[in-house]
Order: sequence, then structure tokens, then C-alpha cells
Amino acid sequence: MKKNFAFLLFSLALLLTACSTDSTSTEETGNSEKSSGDSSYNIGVVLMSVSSEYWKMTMAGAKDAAEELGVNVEVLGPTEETKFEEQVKIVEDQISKGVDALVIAASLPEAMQPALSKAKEAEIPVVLIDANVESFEDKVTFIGTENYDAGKLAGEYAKEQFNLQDGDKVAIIRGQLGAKVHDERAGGFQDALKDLDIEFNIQDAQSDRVKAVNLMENILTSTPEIKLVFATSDDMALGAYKGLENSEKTDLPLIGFDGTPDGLNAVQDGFMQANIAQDPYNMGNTGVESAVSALKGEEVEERIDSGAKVITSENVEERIEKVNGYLNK
Amino acid sequence: MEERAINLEPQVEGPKKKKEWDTKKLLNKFGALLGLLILSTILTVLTPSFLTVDNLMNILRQVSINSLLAMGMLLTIITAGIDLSVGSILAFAIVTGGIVTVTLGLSPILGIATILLVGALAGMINGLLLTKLRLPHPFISTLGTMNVFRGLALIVTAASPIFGFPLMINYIGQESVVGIPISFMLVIVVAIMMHIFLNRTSTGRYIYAIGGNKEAARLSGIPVDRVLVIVYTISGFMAALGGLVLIGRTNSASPIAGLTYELDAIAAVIIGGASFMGGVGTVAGTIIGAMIIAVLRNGLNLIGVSSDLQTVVIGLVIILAVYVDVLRRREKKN
Repeated sequence: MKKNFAFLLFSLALLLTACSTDSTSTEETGNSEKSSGDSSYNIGVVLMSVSSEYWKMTMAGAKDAAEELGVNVEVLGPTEETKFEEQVKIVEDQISKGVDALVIAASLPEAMQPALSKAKEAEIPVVLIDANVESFEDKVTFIGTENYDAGKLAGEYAKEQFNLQDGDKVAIIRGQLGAKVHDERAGGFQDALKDLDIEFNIQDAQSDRVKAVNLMENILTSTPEIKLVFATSDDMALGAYKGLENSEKTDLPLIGFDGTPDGLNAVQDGFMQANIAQDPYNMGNTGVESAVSALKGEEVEERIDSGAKVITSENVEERIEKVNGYLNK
Repeated sequence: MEERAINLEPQVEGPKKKKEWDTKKLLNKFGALLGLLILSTILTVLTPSFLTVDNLMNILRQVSINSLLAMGMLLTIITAGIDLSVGSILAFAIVTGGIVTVTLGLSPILGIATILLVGALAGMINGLLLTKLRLPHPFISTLGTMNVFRGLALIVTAASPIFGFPLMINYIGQESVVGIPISFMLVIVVAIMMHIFLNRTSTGRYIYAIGGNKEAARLSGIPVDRVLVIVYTISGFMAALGGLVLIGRTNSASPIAGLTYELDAIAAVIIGGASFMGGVGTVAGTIIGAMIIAVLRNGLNLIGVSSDLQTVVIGLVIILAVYVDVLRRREKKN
């Protein structure tokens, strides 16, 4: 009995040590690879999750910046974006570990506020990426897509390419009414078309793919004469495509938003005419850069637009190649 | 089956041979604690930031919510039951509290009362489903209510989180007194009360008896149904209490708060030496179980191990803990 028990404790210990030495050793090789520069700042990058393609691109951006600048980064995040309290814990742990700076993409921005205050107390500069925490005024900067401008890009593209006329009807499938991100995307889109007398049919699919399918079908029933569909996220755009397919209306132009691998494939396959791609790689990259600038006492702009790009059949191949490059890092 | 004869003696794990009593009792009592100490020692060696006052307070803060939920879960597991709905009850309770205090702007005291009451009522519904509708196992009834309460939380908030709680509510989860998080002081107070409840009251002893052998308990005149309703009500209440801490920690009440918290709570209880067969388990063990999970996560975060790998390690620790329990039992039989 005692032997068994001792054995178990021993194996537990072994397991832990193995697991931790494993990671420290990879970390060390990582360091030696990166610490070409003199300064060896330690920067904690905490993402909403580490398991989606979007965040892997962000991670690639952060790691490339670290390599270039000769600093150490550690990219962490919960297994799923819904685990926002887990993310708070990770940030707290980074603070007690004493990192020099933090780059954070908060999954529930307001929930991160107490942890950010702790970072401030510990005098750790914080760069926010992707999602802003409006109430946290002491951030170095916020780096993310300027959603209004990106929405405008979509509107301008629609105007140029699809010959919209006064009185035409356009459907917008958007996320949660009242959610700022979607307000801005839809608003920018509408403003780009405001000199035309367009009738907008705006529906809330709550960022859900299945809801978007149903909504698309309903829209086509109620207003069959619509000329174009804009969805404020790729998930909804892909749902909308399914709705178009079910109603045999796939000839209607569809514009998506995000530039996820699925969304890009849809452009490549001709299901989507355009996709407004965000740049998560740039968020991670500029995020680490800005953190280092802050540590060196350099001036950093308060708000940095990570940029958005219209992806069409012309440039989609190139984009997919680039994204795959990031993902295979 | 005769092995699990009714036994009103608390803390005792079914009949055992007197002569081996000492080693076993020691291992039972201190096995998990020993594990925690070994774990902490390893982490101290591996990373210098582990054994610092700051980080230890961090861990106490981080362990609070799971400890509270796990103590409620402990009661259900001692009765050979389970409560899968605690995460959803937590979310439903805090968003109703959010509606009362933030949306309607009513007093924070009323808000706290609402949160705790909603939690207790939700738990009571679990108990009634189990005893009145005679659903076959709490796994099923609480699986159902897990979905019901999560759905309700999403409906009443239209799926968006509530922010801007009054300071009084945030206080518990947010502040520290003389450096020690208030949330952990709450855990200690509740743990002491729970320990007394389980060991010094008749209801507490009935809970062990029901887990030991439900039929025998019934035959010996224990009001099994009433005790079960109490157990699930307490579990719901503890989930709400955990929710109260969560509000302060995150300054918000989200309808998706507490997703998969039931699993962490179950893990804490099991690592802490309780058995799914019922009749066994202590409050101290459960707190240590919760500590092991929290220390493990914290330590692995400090070392920089990714959350995917952390999940694997925690899974292995659960299996290890249960295996220790199995060995213990096998030994006892021989």
C-alpha cells in the first residue's frame, strides 16, 4: 500500500517535472534564438484563445516582432474564448511573474478591467489589441481594426463594382444590435453609399451562422429584388451564402468581413465577391513593437489602426498563401 | 453491498479493519495535502516567482470561486449524486442580480439577496426534480437544468454581459484586507461552517448515511428526500456565492460566466478524496483539491505552459487521484 502510494506521488512529481522542464527547455531555445539584441525584455502576450486560426496569426505576428527586436515573448491564452475568467487569471499570473510589459486581447473587455488596474499598480505597461477596454485609460495604445473605415471600404467597393443605383435595395446582416463593432461596420458601409438613395434592409443575426441562413431566406422572401448582401462577419456571410443557395439566388453579390481562412476560401470559390480582411498578424506584430517602444520610453500613438484590406478573386491567392505562411509557423 | 452498511459516524469510510486504521487514516487525510506540498515544492524550484507573497495571494484569489462551488458539489457527491448545473446557476444568479442592481438601479443589498436567493431556489428545483419527479439520477436532472438555467441567463440579458456593479457588490471579489483577499476569507468562513454542518448536525450525518446506502438510510427513518432537497439547495446557494465573487473579480455579470465550472468543482472534490460511490469526502480535502488545481494552473502559467497542455496535466492528475482512491479501497478489502 505504502509502496503504491509512494509510487503514485513519485509519478505525479515526475509528470510535472517532465512537463515543466519540457516547456522551459523550449522556452530557452526560444530565448537563445531571439535574444540577439542586448535588451531582453520579457513580454507577456495574452490572447482570447490560442486555438483558432485568427489567434494563431496574431501569435505569429507577435513572435516575429519579438525575433526582430530581440525580446522574449510568451504567448498564452485560454483554450476557448468563452473562458474569460481563465484569461483574467493568466493576466494576473503574468503580473505576479513580473513581466516587463503586457499585450492583451481581452475577450470580455470590461471583465479585464480589475486585472488591468493591477498591472498599472505594478507599473507594467499594457498594450491592448483587437478589443479595446474603453474604461482603462492607462493603456499604452489600442491596436485594432478601425471598423468604421473597414465598413466604408466594403461600401465603396460595392458602389464601384456592382453599379448600384438610386432606389436599389441592399441587405445588411449584422451582429448583435448595439454591439459597437457591428454598429461601426454597418455604419461605415451605409455612409459610403449615402449619396445614393439606397434602401437598407438591416437584420440582426447575432453573429450566428445558422441565424444568418434563416434571415437570408426571410429577406429574399420579403424583398426578392435586393441587389447585394453585406455581412459584418465571415460566419454570418457564410450563413448568408447558404441562404442564397437554398433560395437559388447565388448570383447575388455577397461581401463578407474578417478574412478568416473559411471566408477567403469562399472568395476563391466564387461564393463571395469580396471579403474585408482584418489583419490579426499586424495586431500581434505592432502590439509587441509598441510594448517595446513604451519600455524604451518612446512615444506611441494612442490608437493604431491595424488595417483592413478588400480581398477579391484578384488577390485572394496571395492572401491565402500569406495566411498559410503565418499558420505554419 | 454489505460493505456499505449504514454508518452514522462522520468521516468514517465504511467499515474498516481496526489494526490498519492509523496508516490509512493518515494517508486518507493527508494524501492530497502531501500532493499539494510536493507540487508546490517542485514549482518553487522551477520558477522563482511562484513562492512570493504576491503570487500566493494571487492563488488564494484564484481558488476562491472553485472552492465555493466545490463545497456545494461535495455535498451532492457524498450523497452519491452530482450537480452539473452549478456553472449555469452561477450565471443565472449573477445576471438576475445584475438586472436588479444595474438595470433597475435598486439597492446593492437587494442585489446580493437576489443573487443568493435565485441560486438557492435554482438548487431547490434540482432537488425537487430528483425527489418529486423521481428522475433516475441527478446527472440527468441537473444536465437538464444546466441547459435551462444557461438558456434563461442568455434570455434575460439578451446575451450581453452586464457591467457597472455598485462597489458594495464588487467588494467581495475585488478587495483585500491586510493583503488577504476577502474572497478567500469568505471561503475559510464557509468551509468552517460547512465542516461543522457535515460533522456536528444530524442533517450532516444523514448526508453521509444516504451516500453510504440510500435504502438503508430510508429504512432507518432518515427523511432522505428532504435531505436531498437541502443538499441541492445548498449546492445552488454555493454556486451563487461563487458568482458573487466572480462579479467582483471581473466587474461584470456575463450570461456565459461559469461555463464548465462544474467540471473544475467535480475535479476538486474528487482530487480531495471524495468518492463517486458516495458516503466519503471532507471539506478540508475538497479545499485542498481546489488548491491543487489552482496551484497547478498558476504554476504552469508562470512557467509558460500553454493552456492546452495544462488541461492535459489536470486531466492526468484527476485520473491519478482516483487511482489512488481505487488502490486505497482495494487495500481495504484485502
